[in-house]
Amino acid sequence: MKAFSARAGLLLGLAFRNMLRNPRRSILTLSAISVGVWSCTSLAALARGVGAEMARDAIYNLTGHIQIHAPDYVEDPSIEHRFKWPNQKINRLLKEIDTAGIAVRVRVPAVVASERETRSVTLVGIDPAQEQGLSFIGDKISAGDLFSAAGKSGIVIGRALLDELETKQGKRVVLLSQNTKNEIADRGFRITAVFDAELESTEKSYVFVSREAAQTMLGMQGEVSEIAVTLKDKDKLHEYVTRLKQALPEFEVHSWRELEPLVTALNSIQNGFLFLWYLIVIVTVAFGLVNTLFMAIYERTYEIGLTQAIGFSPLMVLFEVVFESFYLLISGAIIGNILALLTNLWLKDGVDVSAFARGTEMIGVSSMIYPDQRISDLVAVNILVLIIGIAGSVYPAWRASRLTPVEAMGRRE
Amino acid sequence: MSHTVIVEHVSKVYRQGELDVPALTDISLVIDAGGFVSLHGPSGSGKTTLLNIIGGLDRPTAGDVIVAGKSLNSLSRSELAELRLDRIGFVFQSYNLIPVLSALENVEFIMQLQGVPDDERRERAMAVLKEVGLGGMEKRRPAQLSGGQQQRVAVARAIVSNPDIVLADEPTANLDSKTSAKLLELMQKMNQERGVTFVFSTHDPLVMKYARRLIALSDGRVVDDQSAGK
Ligand SMILES: Nc1ncnc2c1ncn2[C@@H]1O[C@H](COP(=O)(O)OP(=O)(O)OP(=O)(O)O)[C@@H](O)[C@H]1O
Ligand SMILES: [Mg+2]
Repeated sequence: MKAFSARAGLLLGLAFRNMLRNPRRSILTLSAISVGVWSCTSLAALARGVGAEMARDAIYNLTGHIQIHAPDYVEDPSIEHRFKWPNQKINRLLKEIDTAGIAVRVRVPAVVASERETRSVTLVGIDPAQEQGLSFIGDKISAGDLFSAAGKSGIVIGRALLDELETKQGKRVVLLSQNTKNEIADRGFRITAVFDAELESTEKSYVFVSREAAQTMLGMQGEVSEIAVTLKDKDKLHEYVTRLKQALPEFEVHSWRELEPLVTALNSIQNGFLFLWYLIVIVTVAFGLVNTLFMAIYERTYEIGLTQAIGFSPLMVLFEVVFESFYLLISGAIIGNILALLTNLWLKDGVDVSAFARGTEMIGVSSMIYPDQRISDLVAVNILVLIIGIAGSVYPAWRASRLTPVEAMGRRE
Repeated sequence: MSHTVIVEHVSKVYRQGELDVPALTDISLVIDAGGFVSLHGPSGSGKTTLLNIIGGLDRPTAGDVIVAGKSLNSLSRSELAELRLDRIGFVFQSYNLIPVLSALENVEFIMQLQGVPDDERRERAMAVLKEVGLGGMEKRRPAQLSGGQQQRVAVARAIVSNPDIVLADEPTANLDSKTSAKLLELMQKMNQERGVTFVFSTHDPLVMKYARRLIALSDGRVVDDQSAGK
C-alpha cells in the first residue's frame, strides 16, 4: 500500500474525530466497556482471593508445602508406613532448599475414648516448636510445654470434639491405636488444652500429643510418619518437589497440590468459571460496541461514499471503522483497569463475608476475603476485550467497506 | 500532464424490479485534455449516471471508459479507488467535504493519501486555498463555511493534485446565480491556468455559457455535441 504510514495516520486521526462526533453514544459505549473490564478483573481478584485463602488454609491445616512419607503412606496412612528418623540424607537435602519450617510428626489413625463417648480421630504426635508458623496447631498452643505439663501425657483436642466426647479440659481420655507389632496400644492422656479451628471438621479430626509420647505409646522410637515442609518462596514449589522426588526415590514426596486435590480442583474449576464469565461479559460488551458501530456507519453512509469517491479504498474504509472501535476499546479498557485498581485499594483490608460464613466454611474458606488482583488476570481480560471487540467490529467495518460510492452517496436529483 | 478521456459505447441499464430502465444507451465521447465541457439535458437524461461511470464510481452495463490509458473495466474496486485518487477529481452538488476536517485538512486529505510529505502538502494546500479565494479560512470546518465557500474548497481539493479530469455533477445547483458565476469563473481559471480538464453537468443556461463544448443528453443518448465560441 502506497504511503502506508501517512494513510494509517490519516485514518487514525479521522477515526478519533469520528469517535468524538457523537460524545453521548461514545461515552455510553465506553462506559459499557469499562464496566465490563472492571467487573471481570474485580471478580477475578475476589475469586483469586478466595482461592488463595483456600490454599493458605489447606497449607496451614498441617499440610505444609511439601510432605515426605514412607511409600504408600498417602494411600494408607497407617503405622505400617513409617520411616527412621533422623535421616542424614533428608536433612542434607532440606538444608539445600529454602525452607521456612520443617515439622516431623507421627500421624496415625486412632480412637479417643472419654468416659462417655468414643470417636475415631487422627493422632498426631508433634514437636510444638516445629509447628510454630507452619501449621495452625503450632500457633494455637503457643506454650510449648503444654504436653509435658501433664508429665508428657498431655493431649490437645478440638473444641467440637470435646463437646462430642462430653468431657472437659483437665479430664482424662484414652487413646487406642495399633502399635508397630500390630497389637492394640492404649494410653491415658490428660486434656491440657483445647483448640479452636476455622473449620469444625478440623476440630473433630485431630488430636495432638507430643511426638515422644506418641512414639512411646506406639513403639515407634526413632521412627516417624511424616515430614511437613514450608517454603520461603512458594514459587519454587515445583522446582523443589521435583528435586526431592528425584533425590528420594525410596520415599514419597508430594506437593500440597497433590495432597489437597479438592483445593487444586476447585482452583481449576474457578479458572474455568472465570474464563466463562469473561467470555459472557465481553461478548455482551462487544455486541454493544458492534451496535454502536452500525449506528455510526449508518449515520455516516454518505460520507463513507464520499471518501471512497475521492480515493479511499474499501480496505481503508474497513480500517477507519476498526480504528474507531479500537479507540473505544482502549479508552474503555484503561478506565476499567483504573476502576479495578481503585476497587482493590478500597478492599485491600479484606471483605468480611462472615454473614455468609456458613457457606464458605464448607469449602474451606475463612470469613475474610482479600482481593488478589493478578497481573495475569488483568492481561487476560484486556487482551480478551481487545481481541473480541476488534473481531466483532470487523463485521460492521466489512459491511461499510462493501458499500459502493454510488449506493452510499445515494441519488442526488 | 493530462490524458484524453475516452468513453466507448457505454450503456447502462438499471434493473428496477421486473423492469429494465435504460439510463444510458451507447454513448461514445472523446474528451480532450484541457477541455471545459458541460453536460446538459432534462432531469433523468443520464447526466449523473454518465459522470459516475466516467469517474469509475459506477460500472457500465456495456462499453468501457479509458482514463489515463487504463480501461476502467479491467480495474478492481481498490484499483479504481487508487485511480480516482490520483487521476480524477470530483465536485458534487453539495456535502463535498468531510465534516470533521477543516478546509485545509479537506484539501490536504488527497495529498495525504498520496503520501505527499507534510511540508509540501501544507504549502500546496494553503496555496490552492488562496487561489480559490479562501485565504484565511483554512482552519474553518465545513459547517462554518457558506455553500459557495464549501464548493470552492471542493474545487480546490479536486484540482490540488493535478488530475486528468475533474467531474462536477451540478456543482452550482445549490448556489444563487451570483455565487454560481463566481464558481464557474474559478473553474474556468483553473482550467486555463493549470490546464485541468473539467466536465460538469448543469441545468442552468448561465452556467452552460462558460463551457467551450456543450453536450446535450436526452433519454440516455447524446443528442447534441457542439463546440462553442467559434
Ligand atoms: N440506482 C438507480 N436505480 C434505478 N434507476 C436509476 C438509478 N439511477 C438512475 N436511474 C435512472 O436512470 C436515469 C438517469 O438518471 P440520472 O440520475 O443519471 O439523470 P440526471 O440526468 O442526472 O437527472 P437529474 O438532472 O435529475 O440529476 C433516470 O431514469 C433514473 O431514474
Ligand atoms: Mg443528476
